[in-house]
Amino acid sequence: MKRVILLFFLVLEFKADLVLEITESASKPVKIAILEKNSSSLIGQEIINVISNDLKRTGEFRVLGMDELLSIPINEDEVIQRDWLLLDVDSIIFVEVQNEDNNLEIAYSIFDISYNETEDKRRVLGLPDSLRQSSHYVSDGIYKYFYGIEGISSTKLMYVTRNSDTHKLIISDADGFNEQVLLKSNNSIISPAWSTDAKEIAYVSFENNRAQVFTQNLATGQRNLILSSRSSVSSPAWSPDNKDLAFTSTKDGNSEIYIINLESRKITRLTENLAIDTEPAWSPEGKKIIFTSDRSGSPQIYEIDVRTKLKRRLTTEGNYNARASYLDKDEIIFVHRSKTDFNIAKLDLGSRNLEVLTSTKNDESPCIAPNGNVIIYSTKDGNLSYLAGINISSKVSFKLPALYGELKEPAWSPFLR
Amino acid sequence: MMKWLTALFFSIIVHILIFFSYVFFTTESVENKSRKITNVSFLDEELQNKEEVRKNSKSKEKKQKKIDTKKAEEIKPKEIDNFEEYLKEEEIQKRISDNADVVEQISYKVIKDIESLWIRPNSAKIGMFADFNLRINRLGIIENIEMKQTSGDNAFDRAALNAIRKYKQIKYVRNLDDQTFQVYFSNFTLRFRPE
Repeated sequence: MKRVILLFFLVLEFKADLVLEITESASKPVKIAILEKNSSSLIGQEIINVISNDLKRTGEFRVLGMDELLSIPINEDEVIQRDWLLLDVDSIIFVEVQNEDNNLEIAYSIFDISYNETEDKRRVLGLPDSLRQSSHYVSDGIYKYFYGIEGISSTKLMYVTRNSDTHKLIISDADGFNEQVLLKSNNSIISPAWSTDAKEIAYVSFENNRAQVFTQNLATGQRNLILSSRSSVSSPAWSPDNKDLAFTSTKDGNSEIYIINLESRKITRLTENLAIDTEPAWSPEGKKIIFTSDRSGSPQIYEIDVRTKLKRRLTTEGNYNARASYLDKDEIIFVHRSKTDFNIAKLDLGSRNLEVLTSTKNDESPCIAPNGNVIIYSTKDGNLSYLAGINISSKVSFKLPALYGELKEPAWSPFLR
Repeated sequence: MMKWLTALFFSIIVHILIFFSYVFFTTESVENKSRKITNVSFLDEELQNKEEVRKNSKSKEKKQKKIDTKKAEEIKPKEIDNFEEYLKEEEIQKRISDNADVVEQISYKVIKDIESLWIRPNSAKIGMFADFNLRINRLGIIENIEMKQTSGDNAFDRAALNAIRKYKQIKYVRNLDDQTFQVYFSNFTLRFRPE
């Protein structure tokens, strides 16, 4: 029993200092109830619904419904601890809404049942039309209190949809609501990507019947043409400092990885190989790029040092590994073919441990939430393609509503603070 | 001739050194052994006692070839005393060993119970740990929790503390004898260290 340590043990004096080590944790969610404080209003209920759905979607919270409660206190003083202990509730979240003078204020407090006192109090301020977004910020605050990392409810998703011949580049909230169309075209739009400061996006549009890389300022809507080529151009990826874009192009004959400096427009070729090199993604510190290459005969993930151009192969398991991104500097995710299915997998670069994360069959285009704990990807069920996600720590998977015939290439925004 | 004498002289010196080294190291090992015997190993102590008795009796045999019956009787009770002492010590040893088993069993249960209550935050990293000192009463009720070492992460510390607070009582210690309870469980440390 290695976890029991008798640190100090003298037979004659009978003294021992016992240290018990807790190394495993429960795989159960935090159990909470969300109640409106001191009143009951429609706007309050709407906010509670948004927060509740945000937290449930993570799979890391169990939010009790009103019909499951033994008592409904309207403030902290009315909490009967015994009732909540019986339900094994961890905390009650009291939400208080003020919507006056064209200002929305959501104050929330976290009442810890085992302490029987309020442990955290915070406020979110917004405009009345930002009710959902303000509620998402509350959800993120609650998430961070319990799980120690930033929540992602207040972030955005970008994706491409296609209904018959209409292609749209859309930005929505992380829960799929509040869609805004950024670009509508009769030609393909591919490879949307966020800049790391979330101020700009990049994508490839074929609106002029040739592949063109654009960047677009989200605040002003201003578009800049970065690259225009009769040959194939795809997969623009912002460097962490937003000064460069890595991309794939066939301008020199076959598919290679290049970097373009956005200020000087100087193009640097990174790979030089007869095989196909594509889908670049920057490492978090911006020193390396991972990409897909079939130089070994099958698509595999490689890493190249941007400065020295030294390359190494990262994946060895399976005959199809593609579309990789760094989860952090030690782990990558990518599309991996296991037997006949295409799944999202995670590879630990240190231990070489490969973990298949999804159980759907035709997964593609994985992207990582900015907190590094959720992966969203597009997948197909028959002819219907939709976005699905998986929470890495809780292993809970979820689907976003399928409203389009084809929905692909999701890109998760950075934190919007 | 001088060469031969020099070689002989050095040979004698080397042999003397070997002899002294042997004596020195042999004595040292006996000292080590006796230290060990004094503190822990009861079985060796008995052997040592027997050895001493045997040596004593041998020397006495040399000095006095005739052993009178009184002396023989004196030796016998001495051997019995040693044996009783040995039994006592063995009993203590056994009790400690039994207690260690019980302590391990209870510890295992406590670990499992708290693991079922600990919701590890996502900010937890390998190598991070937090220590809490627990003082519990004879009924196993946790009377005081003191954080001895913070992990440096609020959510981590809070989640660990919540797991202990939810646990409230270590009911298993009620069946322990007072001494074992006092020694091990009246005050002990819980370390949260994710693997």
